[in-house]
Amino acid sequence: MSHIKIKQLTYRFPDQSIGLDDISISLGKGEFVVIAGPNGSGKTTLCRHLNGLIPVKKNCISINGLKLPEDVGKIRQLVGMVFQNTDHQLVGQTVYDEVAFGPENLKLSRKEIDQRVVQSLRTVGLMEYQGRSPYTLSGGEKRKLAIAGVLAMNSKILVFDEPFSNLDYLGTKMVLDQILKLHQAGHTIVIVTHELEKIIAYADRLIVLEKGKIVMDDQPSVIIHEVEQFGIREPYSSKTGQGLVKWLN
Amino acid sequence: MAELTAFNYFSGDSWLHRLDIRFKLVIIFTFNMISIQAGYFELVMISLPVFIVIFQLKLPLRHSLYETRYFLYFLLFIFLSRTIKIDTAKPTYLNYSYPDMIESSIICWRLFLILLIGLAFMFSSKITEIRAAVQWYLKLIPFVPEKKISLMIGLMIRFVPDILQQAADISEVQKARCIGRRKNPVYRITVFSTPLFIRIFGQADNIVHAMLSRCFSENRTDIELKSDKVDWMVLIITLSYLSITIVVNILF
Repeated sequence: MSHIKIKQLTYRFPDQSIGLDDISISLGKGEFVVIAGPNGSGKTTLCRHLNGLIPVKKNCISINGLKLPEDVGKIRQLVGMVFQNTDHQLVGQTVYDEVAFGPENLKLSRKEIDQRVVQSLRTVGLMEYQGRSPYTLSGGEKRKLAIAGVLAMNSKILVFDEPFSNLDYLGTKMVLDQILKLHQAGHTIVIVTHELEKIIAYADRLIVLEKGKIVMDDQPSVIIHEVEQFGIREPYSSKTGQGLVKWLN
Repeated sequence: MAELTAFNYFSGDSWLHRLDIRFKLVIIFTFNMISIQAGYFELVMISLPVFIVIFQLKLPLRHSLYETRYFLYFLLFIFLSRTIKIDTAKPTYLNYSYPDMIESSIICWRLFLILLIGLAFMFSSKITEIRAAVQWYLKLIPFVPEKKISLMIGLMIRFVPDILQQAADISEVQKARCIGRRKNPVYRITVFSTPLFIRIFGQADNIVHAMLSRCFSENRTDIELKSDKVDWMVLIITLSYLSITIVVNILF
């Protein structure tokens, strides 16, 4: 049974330009999916739909049997979203407050909130920073904090919008390692990116978008040689005949 | 946004950090009210505990004063404009008197103290706590939508450092492109404020999305406000100290 089902989703921006054009996808539970495409191809618009941040017509999107727009509250809890610019996502004044923000919105008891915050911070390894201001963390740590924020809501599906942008080598390693651990723990992972090098070797599936349309959807090893025609760089290892090499090796 | 502004919260373990926010608000309010009307003696008596608290908090005073330098320029302007008078009868044209100087310095001192009290308060208080305290006080007034008002205040305070940061970023970018060579203030204000407003609205949009994506609603778990004996003792000691100061000032 599909975990996420998108059926004939079309979206136009206020100026009537096409955001998404007749998108239909089914994603399975625990799948690791990369959605790639050049700038303006509709990647971010698509992932914002998954979180119910953009109003949608009835019966276009269903997640775990829940439907948008009727069950938007439950869907936002189920789908955790890590934004491209983590600074925009920071709401709390301390690391603890930042992670507690989601569970507080769910109206949980203080005890339950405390438990979830501690557990999430432990999962991403930020426990010792709980009293610090989020703005003083490094780029990689901020992104891990954003991940902890959605984990505290018990989100089973994690959507990452350009998770490695503006990160240095260590920050990228830190975040990639965290994403892989979450996938191993059973989360469904959706990564939106225009840069495949670091992530594609771990993915089960690659979906390529161009001008709001799905132009390719298959296993990465099958379609990786054809992605350059859509403005996405083919990973170096694949180009040189070494196949898809794992970036963390 | 690695650099924090003067009005950010800094986590710490000082007694002001630990003080119940409702008590802190009462104390800050009383201090400010007395400062507004204070004379020399009262100003000295109020400044003393304020400086002790700032010292204890380890507030980065130099950095904070640099951040609030425009307010300090404003104080200097007030001081000069109230002290120096133009007198065409005198050969120097400019004239000043000691009573004017003393009066101006009192006014500037009052405003400077209020700034310091505000800095100490923001340094030691989380927005969530301030919001919870405002909500707690507003609950006592009937027909007031306390949750909505406290939410608005919380968002406003949350947004101030962002606005300051955006303004600093734009200013740097424009300096790098030689804005200093344009002498027309109207032009400078226009090219500064237009991108600033666009970025502020964009940032507001981003924050709304980030909050909505984490199920934000008015109806959420509030933080628990707890007070103990220490809070009451601090309140009583502070109010007694201020009362004695006022009484001594009246009597002598």
